[in-house]
Amino acid sequence: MSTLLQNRTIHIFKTNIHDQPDVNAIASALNNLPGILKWNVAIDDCDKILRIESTQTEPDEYIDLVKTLGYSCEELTF
Amino acid sequence: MRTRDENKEQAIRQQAIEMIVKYGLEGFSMQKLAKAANVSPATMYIYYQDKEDLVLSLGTEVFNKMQLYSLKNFSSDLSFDEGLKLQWKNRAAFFLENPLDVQFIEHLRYSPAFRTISHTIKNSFKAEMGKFVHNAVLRGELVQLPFEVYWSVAFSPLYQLMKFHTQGESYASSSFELTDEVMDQTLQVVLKALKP
Repeated sequence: MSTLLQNRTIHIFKTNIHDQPDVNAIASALNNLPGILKWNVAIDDCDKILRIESTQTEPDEYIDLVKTLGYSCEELTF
Repeated sequence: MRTRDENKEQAIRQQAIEMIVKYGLEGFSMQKLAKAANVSPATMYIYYQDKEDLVLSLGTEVFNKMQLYSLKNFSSDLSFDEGLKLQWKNRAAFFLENPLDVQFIEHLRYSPAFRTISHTIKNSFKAEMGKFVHNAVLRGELVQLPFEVYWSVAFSPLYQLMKFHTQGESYASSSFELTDEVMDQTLQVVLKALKP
């Protein structure tokens, strides 16, 4: 799901990014994407939530990227 | 685009505090909170980055509320006796009126979040209390002590009385209630101990 707040879109994904080494594995790819203002993974959540704050409203690029890196990634809905 | 519903958000924050008091920080999760509040986990993550972000936000709010309450009618120019009496009165009132907030803070006290919060909260409280102590020492109303010694004598007796009150009993009796008389009696002993 995505929500627009103060000119930024917050994207929420359910993933299997399991632990800190997994987070490190996706970090450089995400850090290099233009448009991303802030991101984090709640690895203590059973849904391993990837949260991205971005100027971009479409989530597809993020989903594709995370999948390419070998993790599952689906947008969470309300 | 969804708009932020302040009332709903405040209700969820209150619910989070209740759950942390009931289950502890370890037993609390964003998923459980979402379920209890009847919103989707995705909604929770719109407003908070993760559990830590939410706990920090709650802790900061409760601390600021507690400190604001403690400074009610207070001024660093008060005489030491008057000022400490008002501090005891305000802190006891907050404790009795907001038992859930107090228990929540106790859960935070030994967590990493506590350190972060005590670094980020407004320093006006610390500054005002520091000035109060400084003035009292200058006027010869208060013995000069290291902070920890001062604080232990000036406030710990009050917090122990509040603990007995919460337990509803003490080591010596099966029923205990914190009354104004008990508080004043204790305060007088404390004031005497802190006289130069």
